Amino acid sequence: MDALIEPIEKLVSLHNASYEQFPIDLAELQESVQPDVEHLVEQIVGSAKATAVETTGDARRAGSLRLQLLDQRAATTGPKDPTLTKTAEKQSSKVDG
Amino acid sequence: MYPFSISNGSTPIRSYWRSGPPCYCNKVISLGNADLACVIPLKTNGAELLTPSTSADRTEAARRRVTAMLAKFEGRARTIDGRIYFHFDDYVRWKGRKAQCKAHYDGFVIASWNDWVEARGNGATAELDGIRVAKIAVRVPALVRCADSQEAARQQCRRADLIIGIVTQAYNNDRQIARWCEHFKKTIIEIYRIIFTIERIRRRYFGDHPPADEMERGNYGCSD
Repeated sequence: MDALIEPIEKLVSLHNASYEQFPIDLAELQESVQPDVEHLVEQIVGSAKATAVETTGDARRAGSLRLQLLDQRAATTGPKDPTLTKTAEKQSSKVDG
Repeated sequence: MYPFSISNGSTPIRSYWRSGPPCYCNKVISLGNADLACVIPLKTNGAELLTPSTSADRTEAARRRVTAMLAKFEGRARTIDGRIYFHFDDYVRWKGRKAQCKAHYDGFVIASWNDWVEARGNGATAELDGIRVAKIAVRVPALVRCADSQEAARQQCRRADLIIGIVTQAYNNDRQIARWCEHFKKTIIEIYRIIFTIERIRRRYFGDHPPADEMERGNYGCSD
């Protein structure tokens, strides 16, 4: 991870040297990202899990997992995307149908 | 080969001939036929822009500096359409070169790759070790190959106009620079978000297991 961050730090230090009147505080930027990341990880892992479940043929459970993800997303970021909700609901009720 | 020039604003205009991306002098950026010189000390915070509204004295002084600087060039040069062109490789090797940026990068020649695809395949694609490969499109506008010197001149003018437009907008315009900084910050935040996400997922699912490439190198005694 340090190897990934190092070039960014170099780039920003170059920026800060060139534009002293517009300095960028890396620590501040990193902090602003941290809470978001946890949510993003949950979303990515959850989505991967739903896809894995789907490949086993359990479309209902996959749809249910996706709905849970949408609920989580709505709780943190705002209203659900109606298209995604429809797809998940459709999938979730496939077996019932 | 396509030419682009380091202009001193009056004849003789000196240029490179070359086939790679453009280089910039530390002190002067060429604006070709636009009869303007853009003086940017890249290693300092300030920048001096010479435009048609700049006083004749300052413009003339900048031209003299460029002429004096380029007159020291000892590599191959030749005159094309009344302009003096520098040999690119000689210029890159020139110890007096102000732009000390890296001029050569490892890689392959796109034109050569495309020729290979053209020769071995059915025009647009070819097969390389069982994998279908396609021609590579040149995405960098500076690498557009010009058919002749007229087209090169047209491209030069267009590029010069763009540079002038960008530099004029940004020069001494704190609001514009601040906006660029905000974009820069947003980009960094996005990159951090990706890095941290990858790291969290790695920790959650792989813990302290060595990365795959370490194992492939045989450092962990992986056997079949």
